Amino acid sequence: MKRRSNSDGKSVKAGRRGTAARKRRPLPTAARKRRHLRTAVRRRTASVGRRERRDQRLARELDDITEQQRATSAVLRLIGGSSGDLQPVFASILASAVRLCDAHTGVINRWDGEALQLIATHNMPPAYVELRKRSPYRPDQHSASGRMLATRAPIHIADLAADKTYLGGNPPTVAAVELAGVRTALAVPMWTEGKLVGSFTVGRLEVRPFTDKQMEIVQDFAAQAVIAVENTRLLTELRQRTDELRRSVGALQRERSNRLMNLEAMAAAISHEVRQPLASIAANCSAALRFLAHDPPNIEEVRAGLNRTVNDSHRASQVFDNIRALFGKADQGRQAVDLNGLARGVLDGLRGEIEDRGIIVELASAPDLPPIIGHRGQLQEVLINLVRNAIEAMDLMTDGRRTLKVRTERSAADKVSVTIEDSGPGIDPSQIKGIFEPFVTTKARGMGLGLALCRMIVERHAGQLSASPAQPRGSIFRVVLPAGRNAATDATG
Amino acid sequence: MNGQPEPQPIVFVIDDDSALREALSSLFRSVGLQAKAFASTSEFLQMNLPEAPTCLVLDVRLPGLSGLDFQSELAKANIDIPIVFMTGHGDIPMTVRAMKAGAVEFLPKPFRDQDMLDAVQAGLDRDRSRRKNASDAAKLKATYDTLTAREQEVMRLVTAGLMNKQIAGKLGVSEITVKVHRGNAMRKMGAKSLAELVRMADALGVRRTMS
Repeated sequence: MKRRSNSDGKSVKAGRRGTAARKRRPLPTAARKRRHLRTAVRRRTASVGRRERRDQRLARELDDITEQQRATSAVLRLIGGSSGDLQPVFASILASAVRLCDAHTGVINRWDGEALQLIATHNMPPAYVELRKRSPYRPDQHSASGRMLATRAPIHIADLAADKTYLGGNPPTVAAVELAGVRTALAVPMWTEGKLVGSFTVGRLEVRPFTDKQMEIVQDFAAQAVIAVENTRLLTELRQRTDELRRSVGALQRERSNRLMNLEAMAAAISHEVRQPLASIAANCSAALRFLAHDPPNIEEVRAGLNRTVNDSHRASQVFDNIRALFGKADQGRQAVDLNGLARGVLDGLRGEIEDRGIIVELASAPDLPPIIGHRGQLQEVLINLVRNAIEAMDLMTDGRRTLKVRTERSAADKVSVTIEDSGPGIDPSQIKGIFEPFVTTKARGMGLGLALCRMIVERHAGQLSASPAQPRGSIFRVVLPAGRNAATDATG
Repeated sequence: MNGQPEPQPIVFVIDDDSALREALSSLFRSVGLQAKAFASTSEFLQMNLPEAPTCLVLDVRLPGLSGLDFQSELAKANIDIPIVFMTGHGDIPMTVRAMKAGAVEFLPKPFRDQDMLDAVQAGLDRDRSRRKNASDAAKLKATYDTLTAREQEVMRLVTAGLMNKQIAGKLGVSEITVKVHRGNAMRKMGAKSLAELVRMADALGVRRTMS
């Protein structure tokens, strides 16, 4: 192919030379001899001229190839350096193709499975671009583009204005002819891995068909455009995958550290709960030993101390019983729990502490609150702990009303929540982030739990526990739990 | 107060766990120490502090307010009472903070009885000497207040290093009069020498510096 002429002008000249050689007529002998001699001389001269012309032609071809090579490598550099923005790449590809094929206009369309979407143009008037953006180009089988898409072969139309696609009134073709003045058009399909991705079109503003060589160049550039599109698609995909991976790794790490924290919280709570009776036992026994050493020994004190020691020992073992009940088989014993009833029950149970402190309780129960499926004992411990924290927070108040607001509500279609609000001094904003961490719990009383454990229990019920400041002062603790249906699937799953 | 028997020292315990309160009270009783226990800091603050050496045994984790915050609140209110902290967790930063703020000791639960008793004894000793210093200063001030205005003036000038003649010139009185005021001041203050009078003036913060 490369040995063929590479431009219209030259192929026309070659044709003329061919017809001149055929015009020969018989001549008289002398004249023929002279003529023969002249012809021989001329032929030699002509052969020298031909060689020169051939050399010039080869030099031009070499120039063309070099230029094409240069354009190709410029485009490849652009593709390589592109961070996903294809517009400059397409612009460069189109400009090179138009220049090297001696065309005037260029268009790149993307095939989205239904229509050809205009993605880049070269030398096309804004009116054309606008029309193409307004109306999607859905080529039918009869249109040139339709044939191109169906056969996946280039379509070469010598005169678009005489083509049935134009005469049939296909809007994009009409626009190309009438708005842009395109006459000769060449459309090349862009496809990869057997999948159509778009079309690459160049046009001339005059009727002058493209040569095979030029068609080849357009196909080369179309292939580069495909590489650019593919490259970007792969890059985007890679980024998405990387992001997904990063997110899931992050989620895993969070879950792991949550679990560790929960373990730590549990260990801290157990340790705290057990140290308390142990400290009493140690102090009581030491005191008893000292009373025994008195002269005379103070038997009454010794007896009282030993009795307290027995009680403390039971208290220590009670700690383990309670923890076993709470966490040992936590997933068993799930049942429908009415949050309204639970809140009322907890407030009743703490009535003594509430009344002693002159705290006003406002309980707002949402009607028709769907039940949640969960571990009643655990959820009750959470509420007791949160209410007790609220009560104790208000111990520090020297003035103002002490109000405890407990509110249940349906917070979303499938969620219910209970909020506990106090009018105490509120949580120091610098500490609000750490309050759910183990060791930053307020002191546990009886089998009270730290906030870290409360959160752990709520999370095991697929819910959330959060804290925020109240207005004008105080704190709000909010437990959000999935309503019955979801909770039920959690429980069975 | 001289010669009077020292009032009974008292150990205060604040812990929300009644069993531990009783155990600690009994431990202090077993060594003859008077103890008073409270369930909360607010309960403790409702009582008037007695005129006796005291020491406070406090859990770092109290309902509502942490023991450390209570420590700084006491300091802010100028209530100077030695504190022995107890903790359920060995929390080093907390220990450091408490000790820097002047805690006597920081004991992890369960503690050895002797450690607790030693800590409390150290706290009581610290409070005893603070009280003695405070009462000495108060006594000195009371005595100084019995001097007449002229005697106080003369005392200030004498302890500043002026001679009788200079003081007489300064106050526009005779040297004899200065000598009389000076003698009265020494006698009333119970100073046996000028050096002792200077020390008293220093403690009272009344010595004039001559520029």
